[in-house]
Amino acid sequence: MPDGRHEECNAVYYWKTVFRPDSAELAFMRQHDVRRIYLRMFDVTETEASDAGDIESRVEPNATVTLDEAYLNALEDLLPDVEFVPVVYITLEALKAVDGHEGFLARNIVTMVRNMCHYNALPGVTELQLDCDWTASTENSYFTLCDSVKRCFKYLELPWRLSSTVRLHQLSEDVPPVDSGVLMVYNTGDFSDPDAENSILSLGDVSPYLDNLPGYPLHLDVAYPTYSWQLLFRDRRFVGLLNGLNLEDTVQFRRLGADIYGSLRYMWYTEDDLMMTGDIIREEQSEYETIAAVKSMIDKELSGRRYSNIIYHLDNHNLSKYTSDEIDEIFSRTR
Amino acid sequence: MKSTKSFHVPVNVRLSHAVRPVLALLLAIVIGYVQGVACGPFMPIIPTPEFFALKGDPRPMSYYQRNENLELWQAQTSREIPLGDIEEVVYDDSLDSFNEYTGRKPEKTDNQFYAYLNSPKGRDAAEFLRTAKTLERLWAEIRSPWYYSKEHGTVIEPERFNQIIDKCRQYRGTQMRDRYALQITRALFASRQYQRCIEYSDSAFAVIPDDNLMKRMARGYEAGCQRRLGDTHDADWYFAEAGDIFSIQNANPAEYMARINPDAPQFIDYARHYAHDDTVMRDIAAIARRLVYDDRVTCKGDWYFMLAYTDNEFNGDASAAADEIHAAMRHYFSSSELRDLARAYKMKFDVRNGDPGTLLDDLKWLEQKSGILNADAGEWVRRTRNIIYADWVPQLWQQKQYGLAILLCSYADNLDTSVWDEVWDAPGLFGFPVAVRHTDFSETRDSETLDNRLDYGCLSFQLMGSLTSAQLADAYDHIMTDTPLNVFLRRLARTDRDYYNEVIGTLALREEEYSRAVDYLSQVSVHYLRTMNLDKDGYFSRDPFAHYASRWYTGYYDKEDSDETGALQYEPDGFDYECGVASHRYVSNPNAKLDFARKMLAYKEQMTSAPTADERGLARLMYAIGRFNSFEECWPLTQYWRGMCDNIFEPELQYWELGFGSRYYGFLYDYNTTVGHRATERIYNAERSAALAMLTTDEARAQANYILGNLATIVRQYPHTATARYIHSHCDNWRSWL
Repeated sequence: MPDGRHEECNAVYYWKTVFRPDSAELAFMRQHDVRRIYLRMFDVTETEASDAGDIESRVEPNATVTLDEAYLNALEDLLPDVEFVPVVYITLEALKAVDGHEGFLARNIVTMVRNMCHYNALPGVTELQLDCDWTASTENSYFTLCDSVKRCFKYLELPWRLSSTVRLHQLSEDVPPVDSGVLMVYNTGDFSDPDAENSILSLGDVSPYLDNLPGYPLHLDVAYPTYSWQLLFRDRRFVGLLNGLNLEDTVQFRRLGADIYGSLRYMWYTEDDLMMTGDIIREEQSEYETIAAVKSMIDKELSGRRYSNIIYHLDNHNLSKYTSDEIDEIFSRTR
Repeated sequence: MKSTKSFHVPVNVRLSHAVRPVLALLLAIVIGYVQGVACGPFMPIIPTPEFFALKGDPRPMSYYQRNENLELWQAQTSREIPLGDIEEVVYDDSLDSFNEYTGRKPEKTDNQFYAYLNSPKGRDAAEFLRTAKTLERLWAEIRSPWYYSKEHGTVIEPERFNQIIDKCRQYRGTQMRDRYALQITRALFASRQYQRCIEYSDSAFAVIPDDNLMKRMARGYEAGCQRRLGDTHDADWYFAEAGDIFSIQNANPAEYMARINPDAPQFIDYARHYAHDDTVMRDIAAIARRLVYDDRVTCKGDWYFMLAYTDNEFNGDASAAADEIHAAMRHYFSSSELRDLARAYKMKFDVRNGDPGTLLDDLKWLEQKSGILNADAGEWVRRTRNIIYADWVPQLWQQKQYGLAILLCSYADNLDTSVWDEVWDAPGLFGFPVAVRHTDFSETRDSETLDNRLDYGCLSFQLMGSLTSAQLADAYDHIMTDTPLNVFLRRLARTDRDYYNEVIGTLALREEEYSRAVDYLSQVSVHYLRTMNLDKDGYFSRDPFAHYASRWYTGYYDKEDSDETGALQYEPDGFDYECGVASHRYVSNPNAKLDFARKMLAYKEQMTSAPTADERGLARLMYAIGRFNSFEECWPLTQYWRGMCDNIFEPELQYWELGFGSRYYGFLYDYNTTVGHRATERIYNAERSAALAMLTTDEARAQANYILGNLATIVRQYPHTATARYIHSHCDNWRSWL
C-alpha cells in the first residue's frame, strides 16, 4: 500500500511465535489473493514485579515473534504485493499495571515495533494495530494509550496509521481514537462456561450486538475465525486449553455428546499438566455454516460500507477443513 | 475429656485425735472437672545463625568496588563531602536528575557533591559523570526487554556508542584519564566490539599501575570480551585479576585464584558461599593453609577464620579451631563484617578453657550489635543465643559452674522479651482468645491471669530444675554475688528471690527434704505463686492425701507396663488423665506446696512419735499416699511439667544435628528417666503394706481401708466399727460397694 491508505483486500492474522508459513499456507494466500497479513509481533504482559514503583519494570514484551530475514526476502518474491500490519496484543492486566503511564508503554511499543520492522525489512508496513480487551473501566487508559501511540508516530516521523481490534461488546462503548478497527467476530462466548455450546462463534451470541454496527463511526474490517480448540473441564471448572488431542482414541476417551468427550484414564497432556479420569473435554470448531450465517448478518449491517474480511488465523491444519469456495465466500465483500 | 468422681465423707465417725485431722484432709476432694493441659517448656530450639557463610547469592562485582570508588571520588574532589552524598550522585541518581541538579535546578538539592560539581573546580568531574550516565542509560536501554536492534550487524547501536566514545577521547586532562578509559572500555564492551575493547583497554591502561581501581574494573570487561571471543584461558586470567572468581571456568577456581590473585576480597566470599559444603570447604582449607603464609595475602584473618570454621564444623577438631580463631584475631580481615563474625565465633571456644575472661566485654559488644538501630540486630541476638546455648551452658555445666550457667542462660532467654511478648486475651466464644495484644513483658510477669510463656518455658528454668535443692541454693548465692559479669547479666536475667525460692522448695519436695522445702516455700509471696501458670491453670486443686484408684498416665511406658505379649496392662484414656490434675472443682491453692510440705513433716513426726501403733501406722499410710501423689496424681507439687510431651524437652539445634540434645543436654531433669512411675509405685506399695501391718485394731484398719477407698472391705470385714456404721448410714452410691 504505497500511498498509505487503508484499502480493502483479503487478509489473514498470523498468530504464531515464529513467522514461517509453510508451502500450503503460502499457496493458500496466493490462491485467495491475500494482500495483508496482520502479524502478531509480541504480547505486552505484566511482570512479576508489576506492583513495583518503577514503571519500567511493571510490564514487558512477551512471546516476541521470530522473523527469519532470509525467509522474508524469499516471501517478497512469492507474495510481492503483500503488506504487513504489525499487531501488539496487550493483556488487560498489563494495561491496568501502566494506568497513568500510558505514554511510557506507547513509546516502548512503537519503538520496538518500528525496530522490528526495520531490522527485518518487513514490507509494506503502514499501520500498527493494538489488540486489547478493554472494558468500560479501562477504556480511558486504553484510549490514552492510543493517543500516545499516535503522538509517537509523529515524534518518530512514522507515516503509520493506528488501528485497533474491536470486540462485539465494545461496539456499544465509546469509539477508540484510532484510524480504523477490526471487528473480532470470534471468542463470542465464554469459553470457561462448561455449558456453553460453542464459545468460538455462535449466532445467538453475535446477533444482540449487531444493532450498533451500522452506525459505528469508525471504519471497520471484519475478522472471522477458522480455528478450533479443545477445552478441558474438571468438576465443571475450566482447567485449560488442549492442543490436538485425538479424541477418537476410545482407550483414552469416550464420546458423551456431539462435541463432548470424557477422559477414561489419567494422562499427561503437557509435561506438567495431568488429565484426570472423569475430566470433560469440549471440542469447538469454527463451523462454516455458522460463519456464513454470521457473515450474512454482518454483511447486511455493513451494506454500503467498504470493508475487508480477515481470517483468524493462518494455519493450514485448520484451514484444510474448509473448501476453497468456502474460504472465498468468507473473503467475499458485498457493497 | 470429663472425669467425675464423688466421695462421701463420714464426718461423724468417732476417731482418735490423731486420725481425725487425717480424715479431715479428705474434705479436699475432687468433684467435677476443669480442663487444663500440662504444658511444660516445649523443646527449646537453639538458633543456628550463620557465623561464616555468606547470605544469599554471590555479591556482584560492583559491591566490592563501590566503597573504594566512593573514597576515590572523595580523594579526588573534597574530603569534606560525605560519602553518602557522593554515592547518591554517582550511583543512585539518573541522568535526568543529574542534569537537573547540575543544570537548571541546582538549588533543588542540598547534596554537597552536587555543590562541588556546580562549582568551577567541579566542571571536569561533572562532565565526566554526565558522560558516564549517558553511557549507563544507553546500556540500560539495550539491556531492556523492550530493546530490539534497528540495524543488522555485530555492533550494537554503533553510532550512539561511538558518540560517547568520541566524547571520552576528547578529554585532555590527567585526573579523569583512567575513568574515561574505563568508560571507553565499557562502551566498547556494551556495543559488542570485543576485540577492539581488549586492544583499547590493554593499550589505555598499559601505563596505569595495576592496583588502579579503574584498571582492575576494566579487567572484568576484558575478561568478558575474552569469554565471548571464545578464549577461556585468557578470560580466566582476566577474571582472576579482576577478582571475579565466580566467573572463572577453570576446573579448580580456588586454586587458580590462589595462584593469580589470592588477596582479592571476593576469594574469601567464594569460600563463604560454599560454607555448608564440607567437600569444597576441605578443599579450600588445604589452599588456605598455604595462604596464611603467603606474603601476597594481607587479610590473613579471613583465612585463619575459614580454617577454624572448617576444622570445627567439618573436621571435628575444636582444639585446632580454637588456635586458628585466636590466630585470626591477631591478623587483618578484609571487612569489619568478617572480623565481627570471627570475634563472635571465637566466643564459642573461649568457654572450653573454663575462663570467662573476655566474656563480659564480648557480651557487651554483642549487645551493641543487637541494638535496635542495627538492621541485622535479630541475627546478632540469634548468634548470642547460639553461643550461650550451644557452647557456654553445656560447658559450664560440665565444669559444675551452675550459677554462671543458669545466669548466662537466663540472660539469653530474656534478650528480647519486649519483642516477642504477645498477650492473648479478650476471650471470645468458648473462652478461646480472639485478640493478640503486645505488652511490656513485665505486665505478663506480674499478671495473675495472663499466661507466662517465658519464665516457665525457657531453658534456664529447666536448668534450675535439674539441680538438687542444695545445688540451686548455692547457685543462687553465686548469681547474687556482685561481680561485674553477674551485675551485667542480672540486668536482663530473671533472678528475683520468689522465682528461685519456689524452685528450690519444689526441688526439696522432690527430695523429700520437707523441712528445707518449708524454709524456702514459706519465703515465697502468695502474689508470686498466683502468677505461676500452674496456679492459673488450676493445677494445685487436688488433694495430695487422697487415694486415687487410677494410675497417672502420660503416654510414657516402660517395659514393666506391658505383659508378656507386649500389650499394655492398662489402657487409660490418655487425654482424660493428662487433664486430670486440673480437673477439679476446687479453686487452686497457691500455697499447696507449702501446705503439703508442712503436712508431710507432721506425718513424719507422727510416724515416730505418736503414742499408739495405730496412729503411727495411719500417719505412715498418709505419708506414703502423699509422697506417691506428689509425683503422680498431684505431680505439680514436685514437677513443672508432665504429660504426653515428656521426654522431648531436650534443646536441639534449629538445623538439626543428630544427637545434639542428648550429647550436650543429657543432664536435664526428666522424671520418667530419673525416677519413673514404676519406682514411685514400688516405694508406695511397700510403704502402704508396712503401714497397714503396723495397725493393731479393727477400727484403725477400717479407717485405713476407708482412706484407701475399700468400703466393701470395711463393711464385710469390720462391720462392728464406727467407720462401717457410718458407711451404712451415709454412703448411697451403690458403685462404691462393688
